[in-house]
Amino acid sequence: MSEKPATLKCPLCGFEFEKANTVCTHGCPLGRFCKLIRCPSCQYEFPEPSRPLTWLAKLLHPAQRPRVAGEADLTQLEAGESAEFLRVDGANESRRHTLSLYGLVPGTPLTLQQKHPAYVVRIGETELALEADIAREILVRRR
Amino acid sequence: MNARTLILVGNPNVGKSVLFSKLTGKFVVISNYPGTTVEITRGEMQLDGEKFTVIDSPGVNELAPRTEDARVTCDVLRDHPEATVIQVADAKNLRRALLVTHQLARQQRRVVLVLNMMDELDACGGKIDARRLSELLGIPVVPTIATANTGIHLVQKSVPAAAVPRLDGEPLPAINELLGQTYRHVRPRGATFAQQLGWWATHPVKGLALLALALYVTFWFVGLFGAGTLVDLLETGFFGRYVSPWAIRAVDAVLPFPHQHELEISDLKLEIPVTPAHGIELWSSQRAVLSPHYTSAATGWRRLVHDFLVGPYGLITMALSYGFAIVLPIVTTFFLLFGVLEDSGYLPRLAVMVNRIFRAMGLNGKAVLPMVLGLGCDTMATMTTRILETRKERLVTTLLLALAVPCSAQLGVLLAMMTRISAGAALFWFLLMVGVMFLIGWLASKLYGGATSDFILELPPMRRPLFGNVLVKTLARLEWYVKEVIPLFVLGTAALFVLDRLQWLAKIARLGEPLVRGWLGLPAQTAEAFLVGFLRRDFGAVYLLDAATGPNPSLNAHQVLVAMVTITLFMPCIATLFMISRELGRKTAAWIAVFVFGFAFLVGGLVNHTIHWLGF
Repeated sequence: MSEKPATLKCPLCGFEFEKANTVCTHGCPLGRFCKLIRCPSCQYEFPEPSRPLTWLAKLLHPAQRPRVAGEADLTQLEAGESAEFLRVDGANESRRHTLSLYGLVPGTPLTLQQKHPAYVVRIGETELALEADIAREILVRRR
Repeated sequence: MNARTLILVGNPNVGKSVLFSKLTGKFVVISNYPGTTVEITRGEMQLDGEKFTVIDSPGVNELAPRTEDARVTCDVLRDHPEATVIQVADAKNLRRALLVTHQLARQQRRVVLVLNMMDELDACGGKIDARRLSELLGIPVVPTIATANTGIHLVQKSVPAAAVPRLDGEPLPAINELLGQTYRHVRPRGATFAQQLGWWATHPVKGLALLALALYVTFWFVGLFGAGTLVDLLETGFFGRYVSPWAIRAVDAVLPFPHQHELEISDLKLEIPVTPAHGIELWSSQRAVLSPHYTSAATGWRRLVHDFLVGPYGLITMALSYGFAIVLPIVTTFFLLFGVLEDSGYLPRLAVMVNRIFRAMGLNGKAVLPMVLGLGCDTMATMTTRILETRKERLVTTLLLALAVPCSAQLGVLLAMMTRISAGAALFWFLLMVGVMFLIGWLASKLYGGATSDFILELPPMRRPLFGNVLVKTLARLEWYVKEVIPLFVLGTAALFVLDRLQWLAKIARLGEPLVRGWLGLPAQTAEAFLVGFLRRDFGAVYLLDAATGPNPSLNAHQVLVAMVTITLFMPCIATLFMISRELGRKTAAWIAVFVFGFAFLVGGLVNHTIHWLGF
């Protein structure tokens, strides 16, 4: 299920990295069939969390990412709430770039118009539809 | 020569194409969603006795070749290094436009900045000091309302004054500084009705209701009114009663040989449709008319020419009557409605509604745009797959278009066939097609692998469609359609005529018997339908429709269903195949064709045997 290079978090040291650069290079006979993932920081090996499991985990423990006071991501805003855009989190450079082209640059005021079936953000006179994965990476300051 | 070239550049959906057609007087398709222009269009403009070449380019948010259409624009700019750029900006989104201006400045291009859609800026409470902006940037800045012809001549006049914009350093601080000095905004009270409608369209509940309404209106207007009332009027009324008998009589008079045409009863009922089976009857009549069928032992060239024109496989009695009386009314109604939907700005909002479902197929919501366009014409839709970012998405969408999305003509004929089967069977057909689409989409994206691009889509404002624009667009599409479809119908009919003459039709029917009769359980003669279905699937479908609903139907309900399933999964038409090979390469196109035809027969046969096995 490797639809996109998901960011993984090492359960041992907490290092966040993309799945792409975790290929085992030790010449073990399993080679690329090995399903374990090695943290590039502490070399700890762990199995990739499967989809149903992550879903279940999310259901039991809704993500509570530590944030600086006053900061929130788009998913934490209520529909209709206005905020000031701060930055795009996460490692996806092209995503950050695309968003900036639509006018999402630090300091821009924005309004979250709706959350389902996809997020719709209003930036000035531009209405932008996003999916939840991206909305989670957009950090804003509440007003 | 390059110095006299103007290139229209700007963000998507800002009105470049409108301005282009106003400057050059040349018609281009204009719609209210990003990505309408996927290829460059050239036109000419006269200014002070000088001739300028004007080039319209696909919309870009930056001058870097990240997507296929941005690549087209970058190539145009690179190929004309001396050309003057007319940058078209949506006045409501000045910040985004200035990002592009900044990049043009870095490339040392001479620029005229056009602030288009000033009326919409007014409506949302914004003000731009165009003179101040012009002073700060050092380039001409022209406010326009292109759709209302306001400011067009000012654009032309300011071309000689074009200069390289003074905008350097880090883009963001520089642009913020500019905006601070020239842009004022006062929020108006409350939202307009169009805005409300736009919000409803993406609302999880109201959005579904609007979608259902849009689907029903489409079904009524295209399926019932277009494919029912209008086709009856044209096919039975006009062609069946006047054109064909007149042509038969005329040919008989010019090329006499001993024969007598059969008479058939023509039943014409004019009604306002309510459901596929019921309607409010306005008028009906019955009359006996000449049919192309006859028996005669005569031979010779006269009979040959006679048959070529008005025989059972005749140019007038088959090709033109299929093309003009059945297909034309259906595509006309569809294109009219589609033009309204396009200009309203509803389609991108549809993408928001279906994004999640499309994710399962390794696509994102944006792929709904080519798919909906495919309901109009699969060939045009194949070309618009360029708005998708990765090759995987383009490939999967193209495959699904070729396999499971019937174009308007095909849809109309299929809807007409549907009246021959029960509601349950029709529902089964629909669910099967949707199921096939998801299964194949899912499998193809798994097999091809790779990432799906992010779903970030700009929603254009909802607008009231301009009647004139919709009408002109519909006519342009119809012209394109007639030029492409009628020759194919004529070609197909001619091929059938020749095969029939050489007695090969019977041979082909015998050759195809194991497949058509053994596997699909259809009469051997329907092999002809699949034969012409290679050319255009609606041609094949019309053929089957004749067999199913004609004077003495040779197909029962079960066979109609199997025939419908098989012909729906066929490649839409030969033109689509050419377009696929242009977009994705010859090899991929060949694979898609082999897969599509094989898969169509496979599924058709499975349906046939499953129904038998279940004992329906």
